[in-house]
Amino acid sequence: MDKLERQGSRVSALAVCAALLLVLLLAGCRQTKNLKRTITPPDQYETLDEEAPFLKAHMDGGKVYVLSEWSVNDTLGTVHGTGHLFGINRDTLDSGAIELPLDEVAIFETNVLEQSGSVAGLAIMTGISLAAAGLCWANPKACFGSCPTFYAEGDTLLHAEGFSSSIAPSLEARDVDALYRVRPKNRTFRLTMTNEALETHVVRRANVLYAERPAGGRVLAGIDGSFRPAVNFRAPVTCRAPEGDCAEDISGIGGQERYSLADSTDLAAKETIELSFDIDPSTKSIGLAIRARQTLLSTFVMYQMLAYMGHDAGEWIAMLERLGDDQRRRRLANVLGAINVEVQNTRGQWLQAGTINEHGPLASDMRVIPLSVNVADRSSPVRIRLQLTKGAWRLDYLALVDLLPAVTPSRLLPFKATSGGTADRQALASLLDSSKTLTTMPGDAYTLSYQLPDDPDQYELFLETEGYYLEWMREEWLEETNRERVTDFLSSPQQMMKTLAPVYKELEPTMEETFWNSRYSN
Amino acid sequence: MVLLCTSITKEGVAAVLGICVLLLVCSGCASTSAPVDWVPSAAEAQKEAYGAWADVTVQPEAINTGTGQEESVLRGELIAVSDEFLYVLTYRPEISRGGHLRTVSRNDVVQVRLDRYDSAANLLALWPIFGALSTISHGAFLVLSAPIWIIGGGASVSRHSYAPIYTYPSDAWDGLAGFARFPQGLPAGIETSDLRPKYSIDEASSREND
Repeated sequence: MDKLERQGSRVSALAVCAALLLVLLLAGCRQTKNLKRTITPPDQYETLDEEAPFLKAHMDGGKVYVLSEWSVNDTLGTVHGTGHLFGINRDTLDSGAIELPLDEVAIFETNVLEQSGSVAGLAIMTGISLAAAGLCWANPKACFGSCPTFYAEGDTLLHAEGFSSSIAPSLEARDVDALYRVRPKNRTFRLTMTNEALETHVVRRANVLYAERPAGGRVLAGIDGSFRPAVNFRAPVTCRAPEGDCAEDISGIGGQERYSLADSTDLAAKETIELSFDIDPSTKSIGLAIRARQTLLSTFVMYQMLAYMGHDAGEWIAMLERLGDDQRRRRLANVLGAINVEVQNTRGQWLQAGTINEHGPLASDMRVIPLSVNVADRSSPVRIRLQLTKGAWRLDYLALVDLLPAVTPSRLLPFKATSGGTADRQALASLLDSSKTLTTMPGDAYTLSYQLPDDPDQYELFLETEGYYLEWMREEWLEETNRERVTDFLSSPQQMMKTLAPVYKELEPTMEETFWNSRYSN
Repeated sequence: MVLLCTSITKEGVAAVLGICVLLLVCSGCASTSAPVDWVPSAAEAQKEAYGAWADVTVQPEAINTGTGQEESVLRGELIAVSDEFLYVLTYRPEISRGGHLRTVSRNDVVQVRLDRYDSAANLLALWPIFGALSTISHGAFLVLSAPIWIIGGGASVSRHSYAPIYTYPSDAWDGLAGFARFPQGLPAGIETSDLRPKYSIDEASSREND
């Protein structure tokens, strides 16, 4: 069967199945919800869930009223509604409009139906196979994938993505992301953690760190895990990239980003961006502030590897985990490299300052690299060089800052977790106990609440997450199963970057659009 | 579904195999010992006022059937729960004294499993079956792509089927009372011999024979 015949056969088969599935969905939707029951003492009637369609009032003698259109009149001390009175064996004793004294109620019971996360997961799979499959057929490596994504209350900006590089249990790691653009309005700060892709997320913690800002400045996370207050942010005098002047793109204004296209023969090929900054010679400690995110090049490489692994992906990943060579595993994860930062001294020598290696194509993250050059040895203007993989990074902000001594942020654990608008104590307990984890499936969303200190706008906020996630195999990837390619990838990842270059270059022009359009929330 | 299978021959065989495998996976879904039609759906449970179906495993010496035989599992409707005791209206005369309220000390309880409502997983299981069918056109690739629905779909259905199950001691003792017929506790002054199950035993047999 050639490609066209196969596509035609697939479309017709899927069309039939789509119709059957739609009927199934309509018929089964209400029956497949989960029930959440709450028992409430009568003296706490004010906490009764008003969303509950029925109120059960259990009486001292064992009878029970089941009421719809119910209400509690606290002035009269009565409960009203329409329904039935049942005896101890639930035989009907009375029906109709009912009013009963609140103080004769032994206990209240309410029940609400909640969407099943498992049903949502099946909806995801259906959506990918039937509706979004068209996009993934055209560009299978552009199918949406992500680690946990975080949104702040009151805006739709994706502020952070947790542990982006932790794609297997052995790569579980702690990750800190700046909530640089969050503006909390009051002390109760809410973040919504979502699973928007075909993945299983295993979250061990999701805390907020906060540190007091210096006057007129910000606090930035360093690449060494430190937190540095920074003031006097200044734009570069010059910014030169292979395409020319990049100063406007990295100004942080207007949502612009500086990025390049991947090399057509080697996905790991490097490029250089050179910057210069004016500086007060008396300034003792300086750093380079960088806000960046990866492009989809790293996502493509990871998904391509999974596609080559095919239905044996579990076996391959288990083998990688047994390698026992942490460097080798991480070399694979970092095959495209980091952003390497160098600073020039007065003798024209380039000195290594550090690397930015924040994974994730979804949310830009702000970091600072201290430039440890002696004042006497520092050129003026300060010249800085970035070396990075072509087509792998999107930079939207670069600035030189004056650094103050490091501070230790305070940690806030969530005090509440809700899912579907209802408090989820089990989820909260999982996040508060580091020996436990919260597992989320596609479509799951949890709103986590944190209590900030007074005057919250005086503090810099960071998201601290820990965990790992597992990609689900997409059916379109299985057609590329190739064990030899997997072996090549593991033994010589640099060579594989040359092999994959032509494949990626074909997909590159439309990859961004396809990726975002295949997100679950769409 | 029949039309689909007759119009595709080789792939139809593979589809049948895929469905069989999926059914095997769904054997990992939760089952129940409750009589037919006993456990309400989630929607029905919002307004029904009976207790949940309970399987209570106890220390064998804690229960005396009066027949000289020991038993270790009481099955029936959860009537009430206090800090010290659990009350079950048993239902199967061939296993225990039928239709009587049994009182079990918390110290003698090994495990309590409640079927709080029907998850409708049997209905939900059709979803990944049709999903697996959607891979028919993959031909030989079906044995590779159908497993995606089996692995992901079967896991989702299995997970959903266990959502209504409440199990002590994995779950808290305090949470049992909310699904008893009398969540406020056994009412004082009640004649326990007046308590009747949801269905009579004859009614239950009739439903199972339908």
